[in-house]
Amino acid sequence: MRRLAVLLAATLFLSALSAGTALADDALEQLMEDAGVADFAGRGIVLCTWGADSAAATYSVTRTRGMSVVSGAGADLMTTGGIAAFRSGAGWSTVEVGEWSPWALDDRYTLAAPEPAERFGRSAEQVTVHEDGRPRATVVFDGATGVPLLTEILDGDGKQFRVAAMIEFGVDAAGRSGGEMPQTERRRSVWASSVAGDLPERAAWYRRVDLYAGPEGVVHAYYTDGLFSFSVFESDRGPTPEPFKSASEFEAAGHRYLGITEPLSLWVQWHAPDRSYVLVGDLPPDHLDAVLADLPAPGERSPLVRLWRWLFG
Amino acid sequence: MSHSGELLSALLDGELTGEERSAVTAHLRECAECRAEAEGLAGARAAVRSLPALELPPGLLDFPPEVPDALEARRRRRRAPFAWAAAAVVAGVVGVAAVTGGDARPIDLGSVADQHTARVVVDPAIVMVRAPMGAP
Repeated sequence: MRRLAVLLAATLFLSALSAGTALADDALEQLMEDAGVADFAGRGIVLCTWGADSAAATYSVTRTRGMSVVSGAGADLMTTGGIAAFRSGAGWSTVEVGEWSPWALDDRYTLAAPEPAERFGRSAEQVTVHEDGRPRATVVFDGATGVPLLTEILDGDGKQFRVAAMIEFGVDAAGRSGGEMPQTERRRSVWASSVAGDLPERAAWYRRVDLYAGPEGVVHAYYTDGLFSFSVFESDRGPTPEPFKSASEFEAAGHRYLGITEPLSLWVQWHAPDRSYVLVGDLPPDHLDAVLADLPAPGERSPLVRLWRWLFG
Repeated sequence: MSHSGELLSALLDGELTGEERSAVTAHLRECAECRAEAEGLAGARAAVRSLPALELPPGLLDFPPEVPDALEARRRRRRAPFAWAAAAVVAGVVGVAAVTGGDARPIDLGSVADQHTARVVVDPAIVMVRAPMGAP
């Protein structure tokens, strides 16, 4: 199956910084404000390494007048406001998120003061994010626009886990047509739900900030710590999705899971006795272990229960 | 008891990985005992599910008002019509093909990817390094 776009991102933040990083806070906030209104165009590459697996992708991005168009790997993504439009081989579809919670950064993260840098012959600023005192991410921002030009994420051992780098960048997108959202009949609106299923309010230090009714009746819980994020989709126990049937098995929190590494996201699938789960997100592997330990654990149904359900539904 | 044990029922539920599924289906080709058990299971399931539904006497289920809504929500999440699935299972087992699931459908990863992405991009804290990628 080849299907569409997940995007993701190096995450940085606007607020909730510790008092000791007030200067970094101010400088970064200015960069973010600039980036939020900048028109630009570029091409980038993303590389993710997880254990023995690695994956890479290239993409092009243009943002004009608040609309971003990202293309790569046979898929396109257009975003503006709360609307995301996706194009794959099946044409365009649209998902509109109607409600979401305010963003906040977990206090395990702190910022170092920005350092001057240079990229594409342009003035830039480099910011390092520390997690519990250890470097977790480094981001190089274009000095004039605030657009991140290089993002490096480290895993718990200090090794590079994901790097996203612009290989071309320019601000001559200003004045180009931003295009229009495609009209499509495949349009879904996503609104907050109060049904949490078996999903906890916290997984490790990640907060479950939003709950949604997912596609086809599944429960969608969105977790974030302000720097990384992931979604967990919970359904009644069903078959293993086809791509996972050839996925790598890995062990975490004393259980076996199926995992797939993508350039910008990790995918994990497992079955609990009465539920099936899919997790997708950009969190690093050392976080994943702690997160999975707090989510419903994998487990088998007893043969009698399995037979009963199979016979009677 | 078949040689495949729980793997046989997991196969019927479509929960095996590719390697496990290949191993069990290969075993079914060779083992008449397990094949008979699989055929028996499929036949029993089809028979049970072909039984007519009974009408309950009026008033038997006088639940508080919120209960029917909850039951309906759960019912909607659970089941599509099962007749075709039962037939597919029978055909699959008899043909010793890979039976990829009961009548529950797997989570649609394309929709999952779209919905996750849509939520991520509305977060005001997310900065602009973006790249689309194929779902697995």
